[in-house]
Amino acid sequence: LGATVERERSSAPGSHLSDFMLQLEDYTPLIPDTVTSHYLNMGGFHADDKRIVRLVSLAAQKYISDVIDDALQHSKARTHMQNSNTPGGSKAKDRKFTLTMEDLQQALADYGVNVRKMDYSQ
Amino acid sequence: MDKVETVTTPNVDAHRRIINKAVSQLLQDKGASQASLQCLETLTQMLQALIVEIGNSAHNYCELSGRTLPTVGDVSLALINMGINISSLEPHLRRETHTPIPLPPQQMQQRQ
Repeated sequence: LGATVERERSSAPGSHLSDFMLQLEDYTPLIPDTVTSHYLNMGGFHADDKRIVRLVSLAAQKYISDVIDDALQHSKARTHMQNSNTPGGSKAKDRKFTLTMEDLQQALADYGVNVRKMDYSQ
Repeated sequence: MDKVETVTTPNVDAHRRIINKAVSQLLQDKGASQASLQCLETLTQMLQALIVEIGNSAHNYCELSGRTLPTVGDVSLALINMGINISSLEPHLRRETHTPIPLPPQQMQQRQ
């Protein structure tokens, strides 16, 4: 698999991106286009092409979903350790996960984001 | 907890509320049925800041090459500079299917 990906990349990176842009044409990202373009405008960016906005939406969406995935992995590891310490823990509880700041903080530290509660916050 | 949410949500601006919804949907899709309000706010703020920063960076690349209309290349340069792998976006696009968030009706009326 690695070889095919490498070949694809080395052969034509430009065509790869343009194929991808064609796919974006009929893809509706989770974040609506108007919302993404509003925040892009806040950064001084004005794009007429909808596909560019969708590319940004998709990239942002993937970043956040990766962070959530990592945070849930931390949460799973923690709950698993707790359950193994106390035998007879209910299995039904394992399916539902609650994201806490503790797990998110650990996941974000891997991404180089330092989340710290300010002294004045509740 | 629910009471606090219903009181605070109307005060936030419309765009941020939709971003908040998107994060909530992502959390639910990933299997996190519950999340603390602080987590949700952190992720919302991160998503908002990320989009603004991509816009800012892409705009700078665009102006650096003497153009006013941004191209795909500017955005991809901005994404690469931020450490986001573009080739990993395509599998993500195929894998994940979301129901898009509907825009609030007020906004639709304003645009017409």
